[in-house]
Amino acid sequence: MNSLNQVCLRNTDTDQSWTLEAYESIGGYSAWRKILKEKTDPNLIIEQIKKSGLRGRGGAGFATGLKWSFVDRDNPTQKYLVCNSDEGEPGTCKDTLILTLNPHQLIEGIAICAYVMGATKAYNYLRGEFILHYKRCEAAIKEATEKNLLGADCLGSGVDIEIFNVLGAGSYIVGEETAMLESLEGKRGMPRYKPPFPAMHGLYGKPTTINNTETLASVPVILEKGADWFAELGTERSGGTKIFCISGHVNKPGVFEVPLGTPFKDLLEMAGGIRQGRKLKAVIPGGTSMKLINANDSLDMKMDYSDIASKGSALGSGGVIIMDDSTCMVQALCHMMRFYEEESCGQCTPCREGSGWVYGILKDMLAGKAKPGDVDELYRVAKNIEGRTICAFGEAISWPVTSFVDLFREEFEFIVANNGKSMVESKLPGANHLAFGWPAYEQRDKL
Amino acid sequence: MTKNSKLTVEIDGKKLEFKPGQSIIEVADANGIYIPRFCYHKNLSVVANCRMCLVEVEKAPKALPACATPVSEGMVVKTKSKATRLAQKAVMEFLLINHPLDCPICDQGGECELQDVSMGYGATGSNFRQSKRAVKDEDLGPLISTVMTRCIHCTRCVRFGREIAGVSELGACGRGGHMEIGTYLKDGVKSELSGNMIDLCPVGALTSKPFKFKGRSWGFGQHKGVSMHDCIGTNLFVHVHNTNIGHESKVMRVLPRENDLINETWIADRDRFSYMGLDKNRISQPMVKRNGTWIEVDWQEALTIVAQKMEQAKAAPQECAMIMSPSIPTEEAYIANQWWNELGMAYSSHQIKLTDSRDYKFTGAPVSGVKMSEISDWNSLVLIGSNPKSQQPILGWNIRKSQLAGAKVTHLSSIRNALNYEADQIISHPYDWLSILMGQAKKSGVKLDKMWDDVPVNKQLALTVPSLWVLGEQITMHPQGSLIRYLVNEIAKKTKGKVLTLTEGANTLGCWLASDSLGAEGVSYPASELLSQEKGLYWLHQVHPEQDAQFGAHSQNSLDKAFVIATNSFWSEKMKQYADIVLPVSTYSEMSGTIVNVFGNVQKFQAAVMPYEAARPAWKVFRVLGNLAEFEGFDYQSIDDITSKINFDFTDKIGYDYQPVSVNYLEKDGVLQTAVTHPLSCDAIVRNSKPLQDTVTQSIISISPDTLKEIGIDPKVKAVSALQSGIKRTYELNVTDDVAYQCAELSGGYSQFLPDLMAKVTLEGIYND
Amino acid sequence: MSQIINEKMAKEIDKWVAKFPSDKKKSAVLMALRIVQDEYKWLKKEHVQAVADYLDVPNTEVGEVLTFYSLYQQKPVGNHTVKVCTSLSCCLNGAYSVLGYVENELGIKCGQTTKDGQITLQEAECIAACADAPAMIIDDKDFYRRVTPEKVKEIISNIKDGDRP
Ligand SMILES: Cc1cc2nc3c(=O)[nH]c(=O)nc-3n(C[C@H](O)[C@H](O)[C@H](O)COP(=O)(O)O)c2cc1C
Ligand code: SF4
Ligand code: FES
Repeated sequence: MNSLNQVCLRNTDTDQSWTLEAYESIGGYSAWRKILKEKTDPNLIIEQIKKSGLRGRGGAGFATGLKWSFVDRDNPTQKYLVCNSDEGEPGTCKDTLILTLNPHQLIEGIAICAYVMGATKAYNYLRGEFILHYKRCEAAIKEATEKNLLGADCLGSGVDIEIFNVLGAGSYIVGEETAMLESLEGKRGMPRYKPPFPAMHGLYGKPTTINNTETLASVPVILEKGADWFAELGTERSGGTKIFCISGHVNKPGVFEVPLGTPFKDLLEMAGGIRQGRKLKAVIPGGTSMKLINANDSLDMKMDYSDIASKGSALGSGGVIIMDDSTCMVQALCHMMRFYEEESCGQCTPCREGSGWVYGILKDMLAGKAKPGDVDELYRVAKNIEGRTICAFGEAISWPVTSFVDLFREEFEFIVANNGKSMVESKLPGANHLAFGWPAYEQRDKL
Repeated sequence: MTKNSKLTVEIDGKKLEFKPGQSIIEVADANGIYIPRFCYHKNLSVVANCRMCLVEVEKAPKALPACATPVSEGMVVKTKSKATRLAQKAVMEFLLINHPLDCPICDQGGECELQDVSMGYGATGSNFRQSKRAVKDEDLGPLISTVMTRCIHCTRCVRFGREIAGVSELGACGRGGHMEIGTYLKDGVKSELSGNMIDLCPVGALTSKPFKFKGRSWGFGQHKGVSMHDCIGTNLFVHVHNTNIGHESKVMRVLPRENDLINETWIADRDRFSYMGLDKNRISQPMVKRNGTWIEVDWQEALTIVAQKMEQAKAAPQECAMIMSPSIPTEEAYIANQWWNELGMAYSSHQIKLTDSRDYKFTGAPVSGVKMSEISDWNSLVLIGSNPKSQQPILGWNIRKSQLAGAKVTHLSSIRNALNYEADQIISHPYDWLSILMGQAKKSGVKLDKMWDDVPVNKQLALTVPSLWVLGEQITMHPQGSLIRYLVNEIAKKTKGKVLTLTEGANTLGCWLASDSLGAEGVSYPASELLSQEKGLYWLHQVHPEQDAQFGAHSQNSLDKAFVIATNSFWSEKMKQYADIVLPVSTYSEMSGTIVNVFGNVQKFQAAVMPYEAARPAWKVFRVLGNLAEFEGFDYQSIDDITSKINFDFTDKIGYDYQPVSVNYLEKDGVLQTAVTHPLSCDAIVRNSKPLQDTVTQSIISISPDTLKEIGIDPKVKAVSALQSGIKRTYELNVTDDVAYQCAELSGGYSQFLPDLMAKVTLEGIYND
Repeated sequence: MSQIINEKMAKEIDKWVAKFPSDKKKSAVLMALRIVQDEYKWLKKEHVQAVADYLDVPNTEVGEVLTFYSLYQQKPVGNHTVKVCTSLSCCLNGAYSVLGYVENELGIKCGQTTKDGQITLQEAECIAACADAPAMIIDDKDFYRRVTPEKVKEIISNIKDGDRP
């Protein structure tokens, strides 16, 4: 398929693709050199980005060009750019490839964005486990600095840009942009209430722009090949390509950069179809924080922002999790909720208290301790969290719960009525992978 | 929009005006519309974490936190709508699932914000079946008691520490449902403002340890008090058992009374917990010493004996001195002086620590014309011999506030103070301060008389001008105090600065006004002078000079030799030895009166409880003495009659207009012990408060390595002995560059302090352990 | 120099301090803890105090950070940690069977440390290897993808043989 891997993963077949040499051999840094040479008006770059239809790839899908226009470039104070390489959303493993295989393109994107913001310092925040990634990014910065593509007075243009790679220490919520700023300040990663927005009051209280790795890595290609080229790759309201990570019950799970608007069916085919000839049951299209979509809806879905939204979910981070008919939805949800219970930052009441409550009800269901009415209770508690928290983590708890129950209520009612016996297992004994290892699971909760 | 057009927002159908930047809750509060809240506090940063204040805002897709949402023109807010109620009910339910239902045994019961709000906004019953979270308690020290299972994670206490107290003692550890508030290393809280966290905690997680299980708020009467422990005049509520003042009435606790001009919503721990000393070591009956033993007598007999004694003493008025505390109410100072004057006595003093009083008669009222609210407006503050953070904590907070707003703070002191704000600390020997100020005076264009020529000038050190100059207790006790005050005032005049001289006790200004209203001339004697003169008779009113005066040992020596009559509320060990007659008088909680703080705020306070046993308000004692002597003008019916005699208007009495007549040059000789009054030894009430005293630590002596070298002590020794006025004490040695050369600083427990403050000390190393 | 943070660690920490504005040393708390943990394997109270002193940050604020992030070990652990990802994608592909193999191979339960103090077994939350599920991570840095019983055996024996730094 020739439309694969055209933007962020365009060089991944190249030998030693992470080196400056390899990156320059495919035209890397040409956009940046041009900007430095011509001192391009930042407004023109913002116009290009707007025209390209690029939207944030971190989860919220906010229009990147618009976001870039929020920072007041003429404000003489220090400004910052932060690249969100935390990649924590379960089901998502795309930035990891950019960071290891194409770090220079990200760095070029960061440099361009920093230039547009008038920011002389940028931080690339990688999740704590990304040690190899960190080393690759450090090496890339070193190479680029040696060529004066970064540093003081880049290529004699008078532009100063310093990029620092920093590492997290294990926290999903730090992926939320304001929590990331707190973490960069050496604090607990607790999201800030907005307003004030980071564009006004960000890192160390200074104007700050935050973008996802994939978003920033797309920028050089847009400027190189033109906004129209990029826009035309995708659909009308979703320009460009998107990296999707297909995981779960497929024969060939993998990461594919495809034009936005690619039919889900095609994507499923690239991933080798449902494993062992089983039937598709449901799809989480954009990381576990997004709502579940049932098999029918997904099969005629196009992978772009608006079409997924029309199915009641969102494109999110592009982490597509496929579940076949052997999956017990109660177990799957309980699993997910254990994650959210663990990762809630704890500052705001509905999330701190609600995450544990929801998880507790689900555990009761699996343990056969649930009472009639608990499905409604689960639903009610989840609904009570939605829209009442500081950050979108509240929705990340609420949406999966409500969508799972909406689509598979009978499974939940069944398990309550049958003292913890799963409907799926009673139909397909032994097929459900989630059922393995429950003892270990309970054991960890005790630790 | 033009500048003058008013911005309006609609809340619950009412059109309300607002200022740009105000939040919904601020506008609602200003207009008496109640929105429930837990994390929001008007004097702390806004974090919007409890979510209790969610309200419906038209056109917003979800309910918004009123505390963190700025209002905008035309916004429509509904605090009572269905959407608002649903959101608030949901939050309330979440808050309660892990909160123990132990209200009956909780000290917060009856004044718990959670209890109140849950009545109004909660649902009845919950389906929550999982086990509730249990959190281990932590020992935070003698003042604050914890039941952390009750914590609702509003983080007010954490923010208070970081934002107001300036220390990160409490923090949030763990995350999600496992988040707990505590100190990570379990080392308790030590800030001098820590008790405010008790008020801030909306539930019963942090409560007052001394008050634990002592009573329920609904059984208390409330009286307006003013702090008597420093010159700031913090406003208090004194809570007593029994609404009517009856015989069993007792002070149960002390809380802040909001006053935006002085203490906002805060009080110092000293002001909050001193009440625990009100009933300790009290003098319960009038007593006279006969043949070395104390005999109880009734008031009539006691007063007759005193009257007779004074009748004799009148013959030699030069031999009599009255020393009174600078923390007594103005009325008391007035009537005491009135009586003393009528007796024809020459010497009285309310300036127990003032050493160099050469300028006293020229200074006018001891008020600086500086207001508390003005402090945060200054871009520069220079503090000399003063550490308000520990001595006057509420002022300390205001200096911190000023610094946080960008002011430069400079300290000229003999030791590097542990501060909660950034400051430039110039560490130098107190005897060098005059030289530093002379350098600055010359820079600022102050013309100095020839007689100053003998004093060396320090030309290197430049201080910032214009500044607010704050002079503390080390200047009060400084042998060149008048010269320092003179120079600072001259510099301030030349450079558009102002001077704030921190006065002794709580009511130096009031005492001054009392004397001034009497037209009395003879009151300016510094007590240290009177106490070293070995007079024949001393009348001590609410002071224990061995602890309160600068030179404790000398004072005690004079008192031992003299006839001593004391009107006091408390015994001291030494007083039992040196006194001959004691008359028990009321403490501040047992009487009414007026005090005037260093900013000139005239504040009345009310009696909260009945006098202790036979104690009587001192003004009544002096009235009877006046009557017995048949003096005119002692027919006061109530304290208000005295109040009305005092002219509290000092507006035309402010001003510093002193020209030094002599300049004394101080040789540095040996080692100067530079300690000032320990903040928890400032008066007898505080000294008798056990919870406060329990926070006091072992004392250590800090000396710089070059001083040690100079006096030949090996810096490796663990301890040194210090000798002063014949008293020898042993201290753990802390060798540090943070103390000026030829100075020794004591810190820690006051009872191990040497008798004389700001005085020479002889040190010896202790070599064999 | 404190005894806990030796010269080598101090140098490392200083490198991180240099990445942030000079008045924002606190930003380096996360990495300073990591560096100390790399040396001592898990973080005790005195380590927290040492980091607090080194960076001039109140110890409570260091404790707040330590207890927030999951890569910090607050209890004793072995020289190496083996973490099996048990997030949804990995679970759908048999993460719990993998966990079972590792438990068998090491003879311990999840959460425990081998008797020789070499290896601690833990679960990990999604480690961004979802398309290569099931996955494991060793010492919070080395990813092992699409693990099978055979691979588990090999990986574990490599650690046991000291084939790792
Ligand atoms: C709970 C939560 C977790 C998030 N995690 C990530 C993440 O791991 N990586 C990421 O890029 N964005 C994450 N986001 C989204 C960021 O907040 C932010 O929207 C994004 O980094 C902005 O970049 P973009 O506009 O380029 O997408 C998360 C958001 C939430 C609410
Ligand atoms: S929603 Fe959860 S994660 Fe987000 S701020 Fe609130 S407690 Fe923290
Ligand atoms: S008072 Fe507004 S969120 Fe707590």
